[in-house]
Amino acid sequence: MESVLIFKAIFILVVFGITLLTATYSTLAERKVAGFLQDRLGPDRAGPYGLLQPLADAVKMFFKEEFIPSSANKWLFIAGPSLAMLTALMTSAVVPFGDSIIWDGQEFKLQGMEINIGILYVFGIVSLGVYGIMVGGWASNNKFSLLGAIRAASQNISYELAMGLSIIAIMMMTGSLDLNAVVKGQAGFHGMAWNVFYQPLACIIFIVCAFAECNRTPFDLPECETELVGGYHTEYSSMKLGLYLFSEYTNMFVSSAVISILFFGGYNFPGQDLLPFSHNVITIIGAAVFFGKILFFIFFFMWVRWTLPRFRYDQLMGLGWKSLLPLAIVNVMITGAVILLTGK
Amino acid sequence: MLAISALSVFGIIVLFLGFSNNKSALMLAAMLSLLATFGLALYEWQHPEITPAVAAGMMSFDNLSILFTAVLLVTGILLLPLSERFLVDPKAQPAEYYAILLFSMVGAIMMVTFDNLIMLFLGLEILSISLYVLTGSDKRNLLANEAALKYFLMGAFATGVLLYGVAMLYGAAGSFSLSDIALYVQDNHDNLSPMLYIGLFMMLVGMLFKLSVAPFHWWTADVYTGAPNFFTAYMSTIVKTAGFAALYKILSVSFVGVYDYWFLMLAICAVLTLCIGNLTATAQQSFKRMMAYSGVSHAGYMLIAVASFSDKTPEAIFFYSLAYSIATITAFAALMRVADTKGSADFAAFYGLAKTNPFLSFALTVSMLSLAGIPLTAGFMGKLFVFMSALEQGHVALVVAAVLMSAVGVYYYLRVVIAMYMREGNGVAVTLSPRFRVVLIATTVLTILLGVVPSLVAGAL
Amino acid sequence: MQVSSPQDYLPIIIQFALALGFVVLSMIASHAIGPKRKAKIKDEQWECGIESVGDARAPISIKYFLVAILFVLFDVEVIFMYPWAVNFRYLGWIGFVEMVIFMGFLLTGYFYIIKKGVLNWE
Repeated sequence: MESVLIFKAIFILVVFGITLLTATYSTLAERKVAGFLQDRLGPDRAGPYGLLQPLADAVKMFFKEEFIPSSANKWLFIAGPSLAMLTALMTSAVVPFGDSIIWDGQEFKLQGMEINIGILYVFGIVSLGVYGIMVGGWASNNKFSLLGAIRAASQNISYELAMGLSIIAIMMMTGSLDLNAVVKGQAGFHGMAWNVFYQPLACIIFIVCAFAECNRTPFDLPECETELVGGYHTEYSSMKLGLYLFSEYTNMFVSSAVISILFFGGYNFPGQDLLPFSHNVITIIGAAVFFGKILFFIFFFMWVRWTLPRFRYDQLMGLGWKSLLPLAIVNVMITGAVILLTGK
Repeated sequence: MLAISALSVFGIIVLFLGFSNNKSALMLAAMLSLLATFGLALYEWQHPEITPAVAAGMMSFDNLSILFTAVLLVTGILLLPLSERFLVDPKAQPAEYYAILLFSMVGAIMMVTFDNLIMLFLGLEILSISLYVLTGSDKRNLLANEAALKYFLMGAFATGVLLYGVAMLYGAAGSFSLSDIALYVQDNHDNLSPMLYIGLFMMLVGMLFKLSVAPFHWWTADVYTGAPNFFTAYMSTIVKTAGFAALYKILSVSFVGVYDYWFLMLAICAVLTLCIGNLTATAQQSFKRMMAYSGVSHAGYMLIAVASFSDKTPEAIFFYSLAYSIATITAFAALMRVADTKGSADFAAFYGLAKTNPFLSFALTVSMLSLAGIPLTAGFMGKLFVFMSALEQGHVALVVAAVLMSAVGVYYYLRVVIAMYMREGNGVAVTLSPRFRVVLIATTVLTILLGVVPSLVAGAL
Repeated sequence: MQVSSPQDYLPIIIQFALALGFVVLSMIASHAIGPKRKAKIKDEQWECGIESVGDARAPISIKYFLVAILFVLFDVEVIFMYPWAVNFRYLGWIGFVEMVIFMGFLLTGYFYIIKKGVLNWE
């Protein structure tokens, strides 16, 4: 028991570091991708290929003046970004990054917290995320901030519905709320029985909702700079603004991980049962593949951002309530009927 | 069971009928729904095997339950035509009103047919939440808004207390089922958990609150005065019938073994209610407020019937609630017409009514006499049944208090009659539409008929 | 499905401590390092350089409130579906038909709000 706990502590520390690192370099990647898509260079001054740019950004953030408007609610103003970052960092605890390492006859699962309600945990933390934005926007006592915060709140809760409904189909197929079980359920056909092939509709709905939950373009109305200056973080500066921006990238990382797990096989990779390697090696390759998938989806997030224009607010709410929600319900019903008819 | 399922579906149909522009079809649809439900309830009287098969011990449609269901539905059927103002009022939303009315009726029926405390809670909440909405249905009226908010806050609090009591009972007996709790009380009679007593107490407090029994009656006057007249009529009748039926059912099925415990509580509440209700009613200048306190006082009489707990109790509650409901419908029908014509619900608005509309005055007089308990009316027979039920158990003191307070009641009910017949009015005529006329004829005839030949329904049990 | 024991949840404390530590540290650091200059005009909230009028916390469109209420309604219904979905195979056709009826009622309410125009944002 003790060795497991020590392992878990180290593992969580490592995952935590990787999360932060990925999020940090996502900011650079975002600008590089933007540069690539718009046929320009992107940042290239700090270090070779601009690789030290995130570091420079962080230092700049720390040295900027910390500003709190006199009419703002001071404690809530500080609590806003803290909450946003805290919730963003909590989710990775249940993500299974790989199968398991067998060491000294003992099995260590590459998952921070092995609980059988992983999906519920993710949803619980994700829905807390909106508080960070709402609290910050309210505390600023600024009309732009409040409008942005309210938009964020009503957008997030609207898309949470369709998101929750879309994964019900996955749960019906897997029969479990455990993320690890979901991944194991996709191990068939030499590691290619991914849910995306069985549940394409659910997958599309989930990805769209994930974009909306992360407030990413085309759903970035809460911070829509053409209308609301900076949206909910208009009044924020220094590291408080940094935490808001950082939490967005952390959320992207976690969303990408969850999308990979639910629909793209998690750490399963094609031909994993055919390779003549030991269990541990397969696990490590699986974890690497999983990271590859995560990085791809982070790239996908950016790709979409620099390709699609922003929705209008009525279009956004219309899409969530009038298209995705009924589609998700229909998907659940069809899935149920098919499972029962085929007896699978 | 059939009644509940059908009524729920009817409610949804009425809700969607609202999207067509034909408003008068709405009342017809609601009326047909209630009539069809009434038919289904009677069908179940003949076929008692339907419910147990599908309700899984959560509900039972025995004859007493069906009788109370019938009282509720008859009240609804008689009341519905009085809502005709909604059909012409451009601000009203009749489809929603009727749908919520039907849904609340589902809740009320659940309250008289439950076999499990969960169903009681569900029914009570369906009924209460519908009523909160209906109370505030006149969105632009500040008084109605205040009433709705008050009712909602107080009601939610009472529900919380009730639910806490139910949880305690579960803790003591390990079950929500009425029969299981009864079994527990019977088996452990000498060694009952204190949680049972606390739970029963809290549950009773919650129920008595909903029934506006003193000392939990303080919300009644404001809510009844603030709500639109039609919904005041609806809630003062339906809630009383459903609530007392539910109260009797819990106590008679589950808590016979601890009769001494709850008798004292109910008896004190009954006497308090009678005194506060009747004495406060005498001081009112508004007819509507007087009716609110009259409603409180009638809760007192019905509580005596429950507290006395004899063989005659179910019959007494059944007959009393029927008589009270019918007389109250007449009174509110008159109030609606007078208030709509003269813009006031005070006694002064009734001055000289006998000259301009003798039929309405006669109907209202009969209703007042029935509420006061004058012989040859249904109200008298109702009181008689209640007192007989109490006397059978030897609760003479309760009966004496009740008789004294009925004498007080005669005073304020007759004030209305005096206002109509002996005072000079301003000559503005109060007219009646055909719908009102039909309802008033029906209620007046029923009041007298039940007063003369009570065996017409009293023998139904 | 395996049952989780309380100690399975222990790592969440580690995770929480790490996350909290990171947030608090960066807050304190940026507070300590950055310059602080205060002035009456400078400390006002920024609304495009125009003097701000009235309180920002003014009443906003009722639509947002309606969306929030609808979310609560629908979310509760969705939560009902989770245990059903997990036990889907075990419940079989009867469970499926019951859920279809439940969803039927839910969708009836859904069509009602659509027809009422609750989700129309002019």
